[in-house]
Amino acid sequence: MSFRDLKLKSKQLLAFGLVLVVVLGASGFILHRMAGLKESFDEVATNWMPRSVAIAELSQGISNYRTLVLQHILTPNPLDKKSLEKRINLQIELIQDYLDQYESLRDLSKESDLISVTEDSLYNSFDSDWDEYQSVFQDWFLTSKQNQSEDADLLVSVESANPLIAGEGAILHENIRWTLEGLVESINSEAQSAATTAEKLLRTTRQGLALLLAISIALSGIIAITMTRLITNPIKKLADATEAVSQGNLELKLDMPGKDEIGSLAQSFDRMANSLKEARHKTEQQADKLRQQNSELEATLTQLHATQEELLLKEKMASLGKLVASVAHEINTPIGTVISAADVSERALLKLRNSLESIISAEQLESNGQLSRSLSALKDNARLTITAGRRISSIVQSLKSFSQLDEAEYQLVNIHEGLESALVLLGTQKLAGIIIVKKFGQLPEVGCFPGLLNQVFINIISNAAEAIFESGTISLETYTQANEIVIDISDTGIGMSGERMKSLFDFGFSANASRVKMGTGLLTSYNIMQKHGGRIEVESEVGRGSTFSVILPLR
Amino acid sequence: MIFLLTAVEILAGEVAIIAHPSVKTDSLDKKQLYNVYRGEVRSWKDGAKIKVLDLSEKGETRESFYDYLGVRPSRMNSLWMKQLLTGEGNPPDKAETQQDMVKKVMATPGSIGYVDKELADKGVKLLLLIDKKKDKDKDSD
Repeated sequence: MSFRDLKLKSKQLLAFGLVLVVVLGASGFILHRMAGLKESFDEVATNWMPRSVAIAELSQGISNYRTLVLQHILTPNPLDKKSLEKRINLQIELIQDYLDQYESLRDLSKESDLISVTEDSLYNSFDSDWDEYQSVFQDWFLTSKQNQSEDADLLVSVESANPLIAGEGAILHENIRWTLEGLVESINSEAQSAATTAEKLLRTTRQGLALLLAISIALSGIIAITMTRLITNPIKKLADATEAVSQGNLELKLDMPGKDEIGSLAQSFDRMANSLKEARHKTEQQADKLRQQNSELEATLTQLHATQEELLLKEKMASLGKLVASVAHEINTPIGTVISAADVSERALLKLRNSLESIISAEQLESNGQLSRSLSALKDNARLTITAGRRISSIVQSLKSFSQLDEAEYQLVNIHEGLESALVLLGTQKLAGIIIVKKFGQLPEVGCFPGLLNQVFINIISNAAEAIFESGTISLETYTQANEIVIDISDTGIGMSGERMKSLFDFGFSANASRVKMGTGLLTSYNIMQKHGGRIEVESEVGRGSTFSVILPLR
Repeated sequence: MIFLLTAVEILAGEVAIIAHPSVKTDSLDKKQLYNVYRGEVRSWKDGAKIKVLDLSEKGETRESFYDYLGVRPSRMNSLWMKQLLTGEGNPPDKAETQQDMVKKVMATPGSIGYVDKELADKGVKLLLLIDKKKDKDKDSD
């Protein structure tokens, strides 16, 4: 369990706990140091100083004692001596008190090991001297008492020989004084060192305190920054992410793995964004599907229209075919009669002219203008009649072949014948001012529905003719390529823009609605080609013309 | 360790509290001894006057004796000084050496004194034996 996995509350508690621990530690440190300081001060106050004072008092007491003793020695008056003895006695008690005081202090200090070896040995030396000094005084006192009754004149000599004034006692007293001074000095120097120690402790405590304060401040700062980073930054990130999502950016992912409140918020956010994304994706998919279905529907509708048109056309063609067939049949007989009659008339005219020339001379015949003109007019008429008759016959033939389309008979056909037939059906009027160039290659016969294919040719050539306004050329080129037969129908017309080419095979494309609807748009042609397993390709350039390639597979 | 310590103590010897042969009392305890030396008790059980003797020679024996009594020699001296000044009594007579002490005890009826045990065999009465205080112990006190 890492720190980031903790709840915010725990994190805060941890942080404040840390600060608390530091503060407690600091307090403990300070209290500990305070105790140490107190000890040091106590040491000075309850050990060194009182001992120093006791020794000083002792020194004073012993000095007084010596003064009293000397006064006692030098006083001749027995009464004064008596009162001095009382005072000496009191002084001894006083000194004893000082000694007791010092010794009890010393014993206390010995327990805390606060007595220097120097002090101990100095005191022992003092004690021994003091003992000795008292013995000397005792000796003198006893001696002087025994001599009291003797001559007072001897007093001076006794005094001069007194070991207390000069001699042993004086030396002892001097020793005691020096020893006690040394003691005071020793104690004071120890006290000084204790005070120095205390001061040092105080200084280090102060430094430690300053350091702890600095550490506490730094730690608090770090904790504050950390908490800010832990709480504020993720919240800001979350807010930014919310803004981004509200503006539609669903790809955003927070990726904040923490287990605290913010972490789980972030994860919920991620889940929300994800489900939004999925929902949108699904919607888009459905929309796509709908669009696809729509376009499929449209295509189906278009096909339906085309099929309907085709059916309509087929029916139309079927009835037209029947009509044409019967008309053609009906016309064929009289036309045959007309042609043969005209032929007979022509030949009869020739005979008539020959007969006439044998009757009258050629000059006469020539000179008779009226007769001559009549004869040649008749001859011309006969020729015209034959020509026109033949043309009618050929038209009828074409109509017959055209009318075959509804029969939907699959047969082997010469494509070139189909093309010629289409040109004839379109007629001179439609192709007025247009030069037809034929570049027919060697083609095998092709299996197809000739009627339908002819319709395609008529359709495309008719469109080509419409694209040419005054004069131009329509080229018909046929060739084979890789198992296919290609019929290129090119014109030098106005050409088409890319836009128009796109809608070329759409239903209802027809520039001129008033025409006989032989080609209901190129769509019919397209369908026919599809039926043959072939296709139509178009190349066009505005102002240069178009090329329609009808491509049929060879089977 | 304990054996070693005991051995050292034995080597350090003992201090003998001795009295004039005429003294009827056979033994003294610590308190009785203290009271005698500080001048509180001045006569033996039979009424004979006690003559207290002190050693003026400083050293192990004197230190051990007063240490046993629980009083420093200087303190004892102060007590005697007071008695002397108030006229209550005189301080003990002084013996310069231990041999001197033995002689004085032998010579003075009713006297009491202290010497090293080794020296107390010349007809004096032995009242009490005290373990000698070791110098080393004293130092470490």
